Amino acid sequence: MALPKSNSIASVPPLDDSGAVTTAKRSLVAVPSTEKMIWAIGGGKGGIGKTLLTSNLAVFLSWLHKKVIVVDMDLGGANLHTSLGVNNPTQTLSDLLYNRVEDANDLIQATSFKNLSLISGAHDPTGIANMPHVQKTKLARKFRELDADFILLDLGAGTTHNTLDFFLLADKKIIVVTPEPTSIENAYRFIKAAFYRMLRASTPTPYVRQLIEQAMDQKNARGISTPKDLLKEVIRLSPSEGELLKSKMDSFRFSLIVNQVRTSAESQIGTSVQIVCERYFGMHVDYVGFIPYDNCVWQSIRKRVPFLIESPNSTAVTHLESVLRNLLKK
Amino acid sequence: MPKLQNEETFYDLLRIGPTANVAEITAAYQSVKAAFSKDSLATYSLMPAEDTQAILVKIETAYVTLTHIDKRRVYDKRISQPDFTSIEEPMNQNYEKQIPNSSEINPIMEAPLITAIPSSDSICDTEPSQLNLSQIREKKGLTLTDVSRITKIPTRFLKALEEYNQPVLPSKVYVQGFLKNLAQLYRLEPKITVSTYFEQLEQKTGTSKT
Repeated sequence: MALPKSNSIASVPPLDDSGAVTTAKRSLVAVPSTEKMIWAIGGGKGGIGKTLLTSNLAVFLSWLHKKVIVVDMDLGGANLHTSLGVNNPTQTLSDLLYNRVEDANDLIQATSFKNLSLISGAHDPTGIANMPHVQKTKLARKFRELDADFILLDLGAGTTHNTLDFFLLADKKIIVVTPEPTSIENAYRFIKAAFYRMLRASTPTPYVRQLIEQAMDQKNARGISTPKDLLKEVIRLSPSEGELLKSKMDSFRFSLIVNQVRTSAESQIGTSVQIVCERYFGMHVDYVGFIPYDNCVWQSIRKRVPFLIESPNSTAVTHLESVLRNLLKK
Repeated sequence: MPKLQNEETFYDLLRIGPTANVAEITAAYQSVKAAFSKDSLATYSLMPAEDTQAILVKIETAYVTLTHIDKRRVYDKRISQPDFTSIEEPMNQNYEKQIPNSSEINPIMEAPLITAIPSSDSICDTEPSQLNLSQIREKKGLTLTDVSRITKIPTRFLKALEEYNQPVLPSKVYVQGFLKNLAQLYRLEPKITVSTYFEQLEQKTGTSKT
């Protein structure tokens, strides 16, 4: 499937003399100079390329003269620093949470890329993966204070409350899937969990909250199995509450990237998932493109260098560029 | 009142605007059908098979209705009524009365694709000589370029097919392939279309290329 073409190709930003010029020259990505953007990259299943996509998108953004900070939110399983070729980070998120560091900007570690720095979650005590709500709010506030144009949160696998909450606070919510039933299944699980958590958190009325909780439990007695059923039920009970819930449902949207596509049939899956999600959840999905399976990607992991640097002329990079263009556009 | 699923129109179902042309409808139909098809990954773990089956039936009905110029007109009129509620209602009952000339475009299959092909005698009822490719195409609101884009058959061959211009046409095996593609697009019965077409070609030119 052909990717959606950008019709607003702006002039190429002037290049600095950083090493990988070849790809940056090709990249006709128009970056809107807006305020700070937080992007969260999640997807439920492990091993689908969240970390790798995060690091490569981050490097790409830094080439566009944007100040980028990547935050490794895969607490308890952090490895983003490795994919960027940074050795053992000295200060991590737990230093902030346990008040050893006051300013989040002090946690920032430079990488070998200009404009790109890293906040790591590595080597943290395991307890950090289960942080209480107060700490989450604190962390979220600190993220907004960071000195950067783009903050990319690399989320871990699974549907823990931490992961869901940081996914929900992002300005752009990005879901990565691979064309495999296991990945699709986990992605739906993740979307469902995030969706209901968002609805529940934004509903003041106790009985609507109760209904949402019932909907989260698939085997509920009321027969609410989809968000549409839930909406119907709420509207039946109280039209005004339903109106509110509907607007919350409508405002939820996420971007979808399909990774490791090997056949042209698999490249259709993004559109299919988009259609199914829109129908099932009634939510908007921006399908921003796919990354083909490319040997250069795993080879670059061995070398601990982003594939963008290692193989700038690969098809994976061409598609990454198009994905980034769409992410910036929408 | 928020819009609910039971108020969904065929246009909503196929994710197209009310002014979509046949080429757009066909493209939309194909992608929506792929999303909900039996072996689709996209519905995995999210929707039970009965639900996707029900959606597929609706998709077929939607496609048949919207690509048929008269049916679409009737349908558009129906959904503009304030009391429109559901797409489940069968609309074929009063449909025949409203469109008296619908029989002239036989042998177009009126039934959705997923239902069984009508028994052979019902197809034999139609006069074979009634196959008129250009007329069928115009009924669907398609230009030669549209058809060429969808079927990937060059326009010069489409034109030659419609005009029974044998010198331009390639050898029989290709023409058969073209006709089958066209039959799929126009929802004709492929075998009958091919045999009818060659009968007509023979009548018009006196010979048949082998």
